[in-house]
Amino acid sequence: MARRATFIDETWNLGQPVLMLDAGDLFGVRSRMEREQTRFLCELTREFGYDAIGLGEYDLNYGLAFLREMIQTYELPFTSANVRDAAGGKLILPEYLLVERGGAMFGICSVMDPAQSIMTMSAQEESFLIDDPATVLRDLLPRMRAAGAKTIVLLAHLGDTVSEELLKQVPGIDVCVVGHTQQPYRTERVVDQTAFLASSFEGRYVGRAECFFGTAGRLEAIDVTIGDLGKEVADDPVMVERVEAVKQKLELARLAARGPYQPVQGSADEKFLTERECRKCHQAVWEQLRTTPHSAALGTLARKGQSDSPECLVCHTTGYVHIGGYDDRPPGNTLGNVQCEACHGYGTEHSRDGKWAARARSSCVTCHDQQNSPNFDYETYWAKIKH
Amino acid sequence: MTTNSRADLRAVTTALVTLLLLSSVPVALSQQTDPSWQPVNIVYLGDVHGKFEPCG
Repeated sequence: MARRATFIDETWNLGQPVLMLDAGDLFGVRSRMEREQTRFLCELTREFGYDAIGLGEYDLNYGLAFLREMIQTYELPFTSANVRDAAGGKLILPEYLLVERGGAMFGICSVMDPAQSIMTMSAQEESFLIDDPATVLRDLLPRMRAAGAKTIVLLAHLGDTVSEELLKQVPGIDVCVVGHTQQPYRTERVVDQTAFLASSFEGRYVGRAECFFGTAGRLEAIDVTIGDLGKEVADDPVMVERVEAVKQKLELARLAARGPYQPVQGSADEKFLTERECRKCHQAVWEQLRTTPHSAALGTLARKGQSDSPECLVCHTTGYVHIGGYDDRPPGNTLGNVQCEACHGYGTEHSRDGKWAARARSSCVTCHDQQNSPNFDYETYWAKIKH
Repeated sequence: MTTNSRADLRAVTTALVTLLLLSSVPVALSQQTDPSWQPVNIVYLGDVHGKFEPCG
């Protein structure tokens, strides 16, 4: 973020008109902590002065209400021409935006790939329809031009291949910024008379295209610069301070969120060794357990946006409330899912006298309790993971 | 004589270049004053995925 600020400041200091665009997926993954981080990101996004933000599937991770709250609170210019609320059938965002810049009138719209799935943290209550991008744009572009747009800019949250196909199907787009891609284009690229731009990979890159437009608004010349924000761009010191302050605040919130699930059980003298260590002697058992839901327990939380919910992590990871157990930061993050030591205990306590099996048997009801597993029966459930 | 020829040649060349430059000035100026030829810098991002900073 601090390097992003430097790059954007440098661009503003060139003294030429600037059009700020985002091709979608501004928001983070589905978790409560990421949602708070996204809230801060939105605050900064307003300060950067974006002119248009396309819609990506991540931007609905926290639900439509959250997206609208961010739009309203931080005046974010989101736009989408092909995502509709399944309940009412209406577009959930402005269909397109008109932006005057440097004497030229830009018409900016955004489309998402219908093949992408939108999963919100409240997925049961919200569903969306994604219309075919080509059909939508064939209808929309003439209307944008009639409304005064001279230069058409498409924020294509479609990935590289689908975007290129779309440009061949729908002529008349002057600039296409591609999202849902990991490939930045370091040089000028033209696809059927459309400037094809992409700068992605989780904020590592930011692109700048110096564009010259003719009187009809069509692109005449372009010069592309891709800023690699890894090392070659200096940190903005003020932004560094702000980001660090927010990170500290988020860390305190993260620790506080564990509430009664603090890692206090067990012993500091023992260690979880992870299933990789167990596998060295128990390969067959490891392979068998890989086929059970235990081995994908953390993934089921992630899909539901619960991967940072302590009350869930306690049963979907290994040793969450134990000293040295699961944490979402290294080294504890290697203890995701219900691994061997979740039932058998610390690997450093390994015994061969039968105590480990007895301990494992009694551990089932720690998670398979009346509330979470009302039909639990040891013999039935053991049969599913027998090893 | 040779020196003079070179000097003459240099003078002629200079005059030609000057003439060329002068003749191109109105074209350049007309482009500069035409607002449609003012560059617009498009700054673009995507797939930020909620990140403050890149991983690693």
